[in-house]
Amino acid sequence: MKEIASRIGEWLLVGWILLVCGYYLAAAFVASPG
Amino acid sequence: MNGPIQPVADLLFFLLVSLVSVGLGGQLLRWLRTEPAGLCEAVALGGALGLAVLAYTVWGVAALGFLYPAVGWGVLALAALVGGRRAARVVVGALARVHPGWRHVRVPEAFLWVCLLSVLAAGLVKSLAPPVANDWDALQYHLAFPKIYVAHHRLLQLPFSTHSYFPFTMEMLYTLGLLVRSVAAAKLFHFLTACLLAATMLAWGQRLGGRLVGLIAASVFLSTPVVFSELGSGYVDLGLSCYAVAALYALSRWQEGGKGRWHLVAGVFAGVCLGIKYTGAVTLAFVLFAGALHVVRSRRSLWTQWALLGIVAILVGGPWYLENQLQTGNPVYPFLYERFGGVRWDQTRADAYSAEQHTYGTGRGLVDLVKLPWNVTMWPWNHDPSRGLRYEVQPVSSSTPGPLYLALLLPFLFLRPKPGGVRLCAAAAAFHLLAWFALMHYLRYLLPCLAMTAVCLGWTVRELWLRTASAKLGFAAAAAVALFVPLGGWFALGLTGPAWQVVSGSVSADEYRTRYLDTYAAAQFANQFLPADAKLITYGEPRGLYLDRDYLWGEPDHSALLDYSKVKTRADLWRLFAGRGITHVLVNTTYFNLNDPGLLQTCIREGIDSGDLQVLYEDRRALVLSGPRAPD
Repeated sequence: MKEIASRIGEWLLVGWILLVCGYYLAAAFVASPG
Repeated sequence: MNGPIQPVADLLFFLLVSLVSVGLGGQLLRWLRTEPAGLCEAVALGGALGLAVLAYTVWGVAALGFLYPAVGWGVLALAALVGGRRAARVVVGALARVHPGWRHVRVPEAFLWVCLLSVLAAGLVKSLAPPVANDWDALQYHLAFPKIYVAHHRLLQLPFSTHSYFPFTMEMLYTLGLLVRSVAAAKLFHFLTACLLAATMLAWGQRLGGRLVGLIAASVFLSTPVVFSELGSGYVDLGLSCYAVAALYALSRWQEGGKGRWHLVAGVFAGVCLGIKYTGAVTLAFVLFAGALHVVRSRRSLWTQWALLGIVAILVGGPWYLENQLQTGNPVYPFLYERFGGVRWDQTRADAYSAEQHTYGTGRGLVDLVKLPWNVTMWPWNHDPSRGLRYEVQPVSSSTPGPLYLALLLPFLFLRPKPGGVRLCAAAAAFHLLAWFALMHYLRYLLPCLAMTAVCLGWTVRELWLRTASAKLGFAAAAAVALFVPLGGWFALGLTGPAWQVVSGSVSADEYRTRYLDTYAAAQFANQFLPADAKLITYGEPRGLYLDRDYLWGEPDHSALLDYSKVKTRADLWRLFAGRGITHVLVNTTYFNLNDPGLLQTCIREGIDSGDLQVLYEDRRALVLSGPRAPD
């Protein structure tokens, strides 16, 4: 049980990094005049 | 000031000042019986301490009215005499370490070194270029007022600008640069503080787990767009960040209980923060708070050392506030007017100033605080004038803090155990963020907080990459750094293009200034064609660095020096001008539109139409007017 929770937590943290970086890149791309 | 630039000579001056500062500070640390533990620590703390001593020496020289180039060189020679041997030892130590050391550098470290050195090289090029429109505050006061001090060979009050009463420790270094060399030499002092900050991060990283920690911290911080946009400018925020992190580092060394009087070093650096900017008080407050907490938890009785830390900080930073109290009646002039009052200021102006500052960012509620990290991270892509969401004057891509700070915050919170230094840095970053949230939501003011966060971030990435069992998480964190650090570096190199043109000589300094500063041509006209004793009043144009004539900024919102309340007609305004000896008017029409209905605009417009004011120079953005004729 503890291991499952740990794995879920791990994926959530990876997802968080991807979310912030991905959202930032997408927002910058949309905002760029080019 | 307005002539051609000499980048090679400025670069040599920068190397000289760097060595002198490191040597002087190193010798002072030795006298304090606080030996740095390694090369990075010797460079970082020695350099910061040496620069602080130079700044305060120049302040003393300026106060006594001895601001002459020979005295400036004398100060540097004296500093070299005190710290020369120490500096030589640091150079020999560095050479001895670099030669065998580079062979053992692994790929991730080499990659980060390349990124870090590229960003620093770009910042160096920007420093060597003349300041232009994007260096607004430097043109307005950070460099402009030191230029006036140098011209008058002494400190003097400049009552037309409240900014001239801010603490000016960094500006004293700029005064030294202007006194003995050039504008670029002055700006290089700011660049030097960024280098010292990077060295502090490397030294701290070494103690927190290895070279990689400091390398990640320094390369992430300096490649952050909002940080890089300051690198090479004549602002002071990187100086404040340097001393804030240095104060924390010295505090952590004191908390570790090692040999040396680290509490005194922490006190000096926290005091310098207080002397650089009013918001430096936040760093001092945190250092005192964290220091007190340490004393309470410690089994040894350290209250005397803690008190000494506070006394030293007040002795170092306090004189700026005492000077303000004596000159204006308000130690933090023009702020906290309702509490302290102050000359040439009133509640209406204070309210307007405060309201203007509150146009930045969001409200101060709990929901705003929760949303803050996301809002700030995504700025300026989320710029929305209808919601009033702006953290800088204009939404430009160089304003962004980038995604790494927020992306790695969550993994950082879950990592355990955290070393004492990391906990200290994280608490300081949180404290600075809260203070920023409570005071003013201006992104540039967040730099000390970002620097502290970068240290935590460096530790986080190293831990995730090398120590945790989770390969995916380590890979994601390292990939984020590997993507955004070079992206920031690439962005930095892109921003440096125009500066490189002038530094490399493909564009003349005069052409560069004319191209990138809207009122430079008007200032040059005034310098060439107005009499030497002309006195200008400027409207919509506070940036006086390139004006070689006496001037004052006439905007009524920023000082009560000129009493516009008595002005009802043109003749009243001309009388007011005559009372101040004003012979000419310079208008930047972008920020002071003469077609607006205000009384001042109407008077000047009608003055031109009636012939009271004669247009001597006019371009798309600026006017230089003669007169007014003496009133009847």
